[in-house]
Amino acid sequence: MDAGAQKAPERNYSHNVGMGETLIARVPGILSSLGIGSCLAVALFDERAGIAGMVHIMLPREFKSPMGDLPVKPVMPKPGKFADMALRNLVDLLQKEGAAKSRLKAKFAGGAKMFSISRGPNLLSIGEQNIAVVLEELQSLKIPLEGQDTGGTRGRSITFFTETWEMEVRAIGQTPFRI
Amino acid sequence: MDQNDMNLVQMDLLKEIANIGTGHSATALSQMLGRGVDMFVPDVEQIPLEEISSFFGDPELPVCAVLARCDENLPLNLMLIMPESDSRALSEIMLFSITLPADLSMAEALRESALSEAGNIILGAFISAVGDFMKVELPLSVPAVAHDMLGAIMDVIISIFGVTGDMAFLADTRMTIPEEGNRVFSARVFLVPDPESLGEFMRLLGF
Repeated sequence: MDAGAQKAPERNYSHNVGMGETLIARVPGILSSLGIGSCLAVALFDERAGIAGMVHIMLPREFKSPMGDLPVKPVMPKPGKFADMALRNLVDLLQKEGAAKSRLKAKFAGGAKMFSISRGPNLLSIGEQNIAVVLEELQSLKIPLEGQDTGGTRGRSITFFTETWEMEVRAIGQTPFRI
Repeated sequence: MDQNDMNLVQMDLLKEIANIGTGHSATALSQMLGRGVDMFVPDVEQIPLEEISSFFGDPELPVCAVLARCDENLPLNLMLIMPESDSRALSEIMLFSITLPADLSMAEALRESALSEAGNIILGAFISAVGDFMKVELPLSVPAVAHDMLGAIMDVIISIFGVTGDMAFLADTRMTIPEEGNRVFSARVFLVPDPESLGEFMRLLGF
């Protein structure tokens, strides 16, 4: 099969950051989140310490449970699930691994609106809310934002390279670019 | 009754709803296309949210999705998802007897409109059957069509389930159009109540 010849070189240091997950990588680690819609992939990194972390955020903040006395109860959320908790948690983890908070920088991407439906709940435009909370949190944590590719209507695949501290964004029908 | 028992009863009921809905969708699709449509008896899966985007395939797989909402009585979302190549096949079957205009953007607009109509018919049949079963009227909005990566589309469903917990209950409903042994079209339907109406949804089902 000549399809194999075109395959990208295997990335031994590459890890996928699943929904609500938080992962930390040292140089030359690569962190990625594939097929992101309204979710966000946020990377925080300390170049001097050679360490980066990425979190795959789902929602802006924890909602009050509307389930009442349903048999299926919400469980303790993953700290990476909600934007407001996710960044603080990631900062803590990076500091424990030797990063200095004052040196942290941020890049993030995602937060698309996948369907143009005008009516309906806020949940169909959750991407915008996710972006707003991340921007607020970065400001209150005093972490400079070095790059951003957010909003719009296209899904994205996001890869963060600790060798260059660049975030690659791919979308269907678009040439991949790095921020 | 402990929680596991409840979950089993609940899942059986969800499976029954999916079964009824999919049956009607398949019939409506079959009538519209004038060919046989097979449906698979759905399974109800309890899936951790972080696994959803890859549960139904490669998160980067190009898909076509049609989303319609019901905003009255029991606010909910209905979504039809099919691989992009299958959406081409479906629109071609629907536009079979129409000579497509030479203008490419016009031809594309026709395909989009055909897909929106197919979504309307499939999702409309699904929800009216579910509504009959639950004895509640569930009018659907005009559907919106999107073409994107599977994972990105599934984010819509995940963020709604994410509000209430870390698990989603999804009925894996499938319809296919078989043709001389070859699958020409395969699609899935997802019914996702708004978080606010989940309680009422379960209550109407007798929980």
